[in-house]
Amino acid sequence: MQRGSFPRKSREAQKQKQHHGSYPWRCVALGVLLLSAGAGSLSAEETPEKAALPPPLQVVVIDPGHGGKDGGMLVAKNRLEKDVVLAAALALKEELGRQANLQLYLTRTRDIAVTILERTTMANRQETDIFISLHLTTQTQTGGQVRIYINQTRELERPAGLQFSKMQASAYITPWYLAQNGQQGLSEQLAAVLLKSWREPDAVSGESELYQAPLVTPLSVLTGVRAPAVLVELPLPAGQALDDRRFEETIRIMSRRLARGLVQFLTHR
Amino acid sequence: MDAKMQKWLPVFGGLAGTAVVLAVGIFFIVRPFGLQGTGDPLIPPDQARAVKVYIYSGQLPQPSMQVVQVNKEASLPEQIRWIMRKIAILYQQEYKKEGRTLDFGIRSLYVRKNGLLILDFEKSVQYNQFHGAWEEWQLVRSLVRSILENYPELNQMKILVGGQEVDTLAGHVDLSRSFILGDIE
Repeated sequence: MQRGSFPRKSREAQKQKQHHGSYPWRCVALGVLLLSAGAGSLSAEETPEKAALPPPLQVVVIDPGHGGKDGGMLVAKNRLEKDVVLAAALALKEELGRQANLQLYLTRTRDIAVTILERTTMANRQETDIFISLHLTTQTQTGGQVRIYINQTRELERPAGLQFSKMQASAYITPWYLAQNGQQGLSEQLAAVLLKSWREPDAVSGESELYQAPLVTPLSVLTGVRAPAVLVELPLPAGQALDDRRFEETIRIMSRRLARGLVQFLTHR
Repeated sequence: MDAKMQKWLPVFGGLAGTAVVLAVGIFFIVRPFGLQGTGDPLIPPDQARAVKVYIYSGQLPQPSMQVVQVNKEASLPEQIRWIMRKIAILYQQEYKKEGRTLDFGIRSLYVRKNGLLILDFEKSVQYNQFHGAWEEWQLVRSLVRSILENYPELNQMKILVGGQEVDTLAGHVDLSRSFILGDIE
């Protein structure tokens, strides 16, 4: 018994010694921590150098719809929606790059298949300030007007076997299908700004469009985005031969209108 | 009557007789199927049930409504198939005006005990059918309202394509959710 108890006792004594021995070091560490916190709070105050820095870059993710096997709508002879929206997305990127200090991403830059989840994940990973998905509609459908959609708010669904109260209590996790719910107000604002900017007479074409309210629809690509998000359907003449020159001109005008609206939203948000 | 005509008289008679036999046969063969709601719209009045079919199309905020008859003696999936066929015909008429067609064939259809209706579309629905997200959504709204409003025992509708759960119908409308009547307002 004696043999067994001796080492235990000595280990406890050693532990106590270690504990007391580390006390001054702990005081030093606490002091260092307090000093560094004080320095941090001082540096957090706005200094002239800090104020002179440019504002943080805002991020815009542009999503050209469809791609790969999914060609979308046949707009004109040999011209598919996936190609037209890619051209429009590239033009919009160029236009935005010219107008504002933004960080711009495209969900695809060539004709490849991108899943809805990949598109959404890209937007969320980049912590985007705006997500804009580009699609097409025909002028016969819309009377030549742009269509802007926001996602329909989705009711909370209970995954099988999981109680909502437990879900709420367990973590502050938002299921992906509810991500856009929290952004509904901002998405509505973004849609309104885009529609308004589209309506304003264009400096080049001199044309203006009639105002139309945003359409509320359950849209897969917007559902999981944790940022203001809209889907824009650009009006393009369908079934007619759209020569290259006219096509490029149309895309350029449309991208300029969109860019104007996006910059307005980011500036006044 | 000349000799030439007399020569052909038995042939004409035979043809006429065959036509009569075929007509009678078709009437008695097809009619029973029609009663089950698979082909012929002839439904006995005592077995007819009026249902409202809604067609959302174009820019109109309100749908157009038509009352159609289904056979209430038929099974629930058969009645739903019948309604969908009516919707398909009405949409075809709409699309024909623009020189287009709409094909949304149904592979299978299930009704679960909890009131969930599962519609499984043919894959062809995904390709070059709709001119934009709005048209896609209009079709879904028509189906959801026409079916769920007429059958209160069904409370939600899930849409599959090619036997699988898909993200979208044709690149736009979110099919990861199941639809309820409240979604279409």
